[in-house]
Amino acid sequence: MDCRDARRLMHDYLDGTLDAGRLRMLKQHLSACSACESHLDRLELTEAMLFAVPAPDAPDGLTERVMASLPRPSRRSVFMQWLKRHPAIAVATVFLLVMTWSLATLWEKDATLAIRGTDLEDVIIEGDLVIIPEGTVVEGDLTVENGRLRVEGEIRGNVTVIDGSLNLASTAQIAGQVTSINEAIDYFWFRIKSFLAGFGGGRQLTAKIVLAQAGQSFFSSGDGMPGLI
Amino acid sequence: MEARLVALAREGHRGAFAELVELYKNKIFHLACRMLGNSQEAEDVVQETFMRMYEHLASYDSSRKFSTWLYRIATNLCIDRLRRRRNVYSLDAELNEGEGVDGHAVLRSGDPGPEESLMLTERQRIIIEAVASLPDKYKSAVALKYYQDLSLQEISEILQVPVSTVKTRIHRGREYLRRKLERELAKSGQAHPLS
Repeated sequence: MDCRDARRLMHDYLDGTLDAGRLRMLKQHLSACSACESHLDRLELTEAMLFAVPAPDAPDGLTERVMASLPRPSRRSVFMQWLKRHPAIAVATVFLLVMTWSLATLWEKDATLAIRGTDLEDVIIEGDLVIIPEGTVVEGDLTVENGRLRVEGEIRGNVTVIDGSLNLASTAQIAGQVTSINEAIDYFWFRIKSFLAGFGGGRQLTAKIVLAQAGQSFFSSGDGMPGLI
Repeated sequence: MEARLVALAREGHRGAFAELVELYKNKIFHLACRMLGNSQEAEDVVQETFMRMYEHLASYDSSRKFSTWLYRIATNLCIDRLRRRRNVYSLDAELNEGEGVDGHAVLRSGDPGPEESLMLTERQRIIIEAVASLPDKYKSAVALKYYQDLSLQEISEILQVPVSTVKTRIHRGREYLRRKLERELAKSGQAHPLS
């Protein structure tokens, strides 16, 4: 090995990449060549001096200055990030929006009489007055919105009156619960409850009667088309 | 931990971004001080580095090491500044011909900033100036090795050159510094420990 090779190996040695075989060769050369030995000493000392320089810390407040120099995020992206991080609240928000919207839409139709039930054959309608005549039997639930309900016969289910009145004759028989809803908020909860109950129930035959207050009447009947009137 | 911070910062989480700044600001400041030899410019480079990080975080490949990516940004910014500075200096050099002993003396990057120089001994100042006077190519490799304690492999990824090239640059940088330090210490009357 000549001095040129030895100088190259010295650097590999300092890099920590010299294998045992070549390290032995280098040592052999150094023990015979004082010039190379001195050279390695000087290189090692150079390295030691490089390490003797202290590491300065970044000036105070640099993080704040960096953060202040970044562009402000747009309002939209802040909102989107917030939604991304709170998915449950996002879902709840959408649900509430839809509910509020549908409620508002329904509330606008407050002048419309609506009857909902599974057995409406014997029901008599006179203007906004809904009559269950004496001697007739309504199988299942009955819901009346924006109308007066007069029960003379029998109802084998729950009765719900929304924004209306209920009049029971002495002959009236109601098997289930009677619920009267007049406040918007009550109605809202009623909607949610019937929405959730809808998951439990199967298909049912639903007849819908919608009567405009103007006196025009429509009759529609459908199989398996429950839902909002 | 760091990967999680990077992921959050990518989504635009400013708190996570600030944490990353805290984690790396001293390292990058140190690197830039050694490469530029000037703490005022080094501070500018730290700011620019994090600004670039903010702008390009979306294009960072999360399968690679984050620090390598960040060091690459910082190193490139330092090299850009050195290059620009050289253009200015070369104009000066034409005016004051014969002033510099060698090219590097003309290119020498000036004094350490006021904050740093207060705490330094004469010897440390000479060492810092010697590092700052290294040719740019050697300087980035030497600074990453000695002042960030990075492996040859990592340095090769940061500088995007083969490991063998990194080795060559470090070897030449070491020889350059040995000569330079021996000369400068002798000139300043500081005894070289081996003389």
